[in-house]
Amino acid sequence: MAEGGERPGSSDPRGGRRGPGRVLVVVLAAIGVLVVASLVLVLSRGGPEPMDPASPEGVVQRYSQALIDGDMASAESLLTDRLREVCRSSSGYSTSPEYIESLRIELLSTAVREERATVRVAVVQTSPGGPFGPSEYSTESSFQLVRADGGWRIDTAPPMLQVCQGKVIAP
Amino acid sequence: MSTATAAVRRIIVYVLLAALVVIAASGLSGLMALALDAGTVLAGSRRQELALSLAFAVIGGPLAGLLWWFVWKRLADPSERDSMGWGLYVSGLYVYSLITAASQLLALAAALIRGEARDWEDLVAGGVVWAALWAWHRWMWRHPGRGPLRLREVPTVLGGVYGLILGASLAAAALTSLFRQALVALLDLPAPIGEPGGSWWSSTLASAVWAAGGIGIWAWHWRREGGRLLRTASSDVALIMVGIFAASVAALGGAGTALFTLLRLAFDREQGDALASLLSPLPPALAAAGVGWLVWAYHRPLVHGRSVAAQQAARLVTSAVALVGAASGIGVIVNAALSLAAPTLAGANARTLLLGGIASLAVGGPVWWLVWRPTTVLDEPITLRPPGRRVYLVVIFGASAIAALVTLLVIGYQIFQTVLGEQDAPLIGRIRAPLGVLVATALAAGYHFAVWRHDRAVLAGQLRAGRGIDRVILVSPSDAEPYARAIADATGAAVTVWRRAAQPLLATPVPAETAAPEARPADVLPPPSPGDLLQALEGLTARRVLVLLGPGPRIEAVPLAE
Repeated sequence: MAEGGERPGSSDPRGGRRGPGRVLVVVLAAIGVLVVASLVLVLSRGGPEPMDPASPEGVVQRYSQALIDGDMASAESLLTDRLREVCRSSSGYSTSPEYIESLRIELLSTAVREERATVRVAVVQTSPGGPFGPSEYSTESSFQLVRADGGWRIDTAPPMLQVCQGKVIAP
Repeated sequence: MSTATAAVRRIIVYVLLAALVVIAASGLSGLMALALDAGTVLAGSRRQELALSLAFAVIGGPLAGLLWWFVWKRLADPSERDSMGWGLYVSGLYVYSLITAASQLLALAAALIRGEARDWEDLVAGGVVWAALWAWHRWMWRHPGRGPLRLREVPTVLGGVYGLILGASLAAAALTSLFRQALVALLDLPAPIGEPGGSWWSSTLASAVWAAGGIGIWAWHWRREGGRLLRTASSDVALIMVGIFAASVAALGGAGTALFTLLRLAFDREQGDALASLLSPLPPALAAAGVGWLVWAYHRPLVHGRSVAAQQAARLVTSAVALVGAASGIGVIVNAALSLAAPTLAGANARTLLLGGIASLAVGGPVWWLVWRPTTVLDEPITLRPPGRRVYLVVIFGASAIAALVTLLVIGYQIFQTVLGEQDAPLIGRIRAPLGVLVATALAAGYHFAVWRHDRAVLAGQLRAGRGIDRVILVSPSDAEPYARAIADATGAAVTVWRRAAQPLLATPVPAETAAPEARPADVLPPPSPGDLLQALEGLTARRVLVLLGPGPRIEAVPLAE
């Protein structure tokens, strides 16, 4: 451990060590700036910014947030009657709460065509561990929405984000 | 018989012998299991198994015995004993029977502890038969008159490696389940589900039994069979790959994950997050870090007694593992920062990812600094041989080049998709992961490129200063070791030692300038010191040099043509 400081100021008769030393300083400075900037950027941002709740992406946002919070009743209230029926009749499969908690839903694009809208999202799962830090796995998927009672309702949801996955659904 | 014919005969004989021995052993263990199991069959029969075991034992057994008898008789011949085939056969069957016997007997002990010993007959029979086979092969391996002369150290090395891997990984498993239980008790968490076979302590104890068995096997080969005294290339490789490389991967990976979990606990905990799922990576991470560190700390001082090449390799391997950890941490940090560009609808923000990157960097970076010692590494002497550091730098460039190529391809593909209108999602969100890897690779490669250029300049300077001797052939009358080491240290050249035949050299004319003025015979004068020898090499510019040492103080250094 003390070896690092044994000959800190040793001069170099060959005159060749200035290069790597300077590069090392630059690399370390770059890493320092990177870490500080990322910390400031990421920590200064709070939660996701709320979208307009009347827009298609706003509905998808409320639905996803409810799902991640485990609020199944709110999530279900954003579905169309058709999807709610499909949910009730299907047996579904259960998703672990750890999986849902590790998700992040990113907005990719929104396309609105009169009575229907498609919201494309990236479902990003962060898995911890592995010898070299956490890794992310991103899947692109889409929500189909239809206009109903003056707002937007979800008509199809990505399979991993369905409220009826073996969870208790209010009768 | 020609050597080629003999080699082919040996291959066939030893492969056949190995197959027959394995067949006979499985037949015998099958018969023994059936005998132990008699009376428990309620309905049906096990005649099919019996027929198979009988065939294996009755046909394989006598043929194996017969062939072995022939082989054993032949082994009185030293050339047969010295063959590669015999060494391979003994090493292979020794290790195979050791692994089989140990896993059957340890599985039996673990099953007894768990209280689910349903198949104990098979395990007992297999364990006993293979343990006998192991003892038999050990006897042949150590036989003073007929044991193999080639690959003699291989059973020791491989047995030790197997024991160490088994012991360390199962000790980590036992510690994991112990830590998990401690966490449950300490924080009053819900008990972990999905733990079969009753209480947690029985599975912990079963892992501990496996670990104890592995450590026992390692200790037997390391102490009793003299593994720690071996100084061969294969023992160096085993020491560095398992004791240093695998151990540092486990230690650094475990420490990084543990730090990541603690950082999440401190900075990334939202209300309602289940503590149990947040803390679940902590027990295996702590166990891996602890066991990995222990194995590494035990082997690290042992490297000092080994060759210079092994010492260099041990340091560079640790440095590389730490460097990869630090670099991937930087990549993850860049990735996390860029992920802010994509609008998030719901869920965890990039904080988790950022903390993960910081944990990897915080573990890998300091370890790299302590092992590589960037403040003094440039003052270390650079030698042509062993070429450890130059090989390390080239390997880092190679790995960087591959990483850069792959990430550039991915980035290019995404850019072209956007340009061609195939993708409407924000570009930065799709290229942030490869971009992070590219940035980290560029930083690592940039620094190591500077070091490589520095080394090359220093080496060129040494060559210009007449230290460009690549190979020295040293003809020496007595113990050449100090001279050879002095030459290798000073010039980095490879030294070949040829011993003079012990003849009176009275007829040899002694050069006038080195001949002693008084008429003493040259042999009586003291031999030259290694320093004198280096002086004689000073100023020579040839790549190959012949050095004649003795008799007495005579030194003649002859530069050879290319």
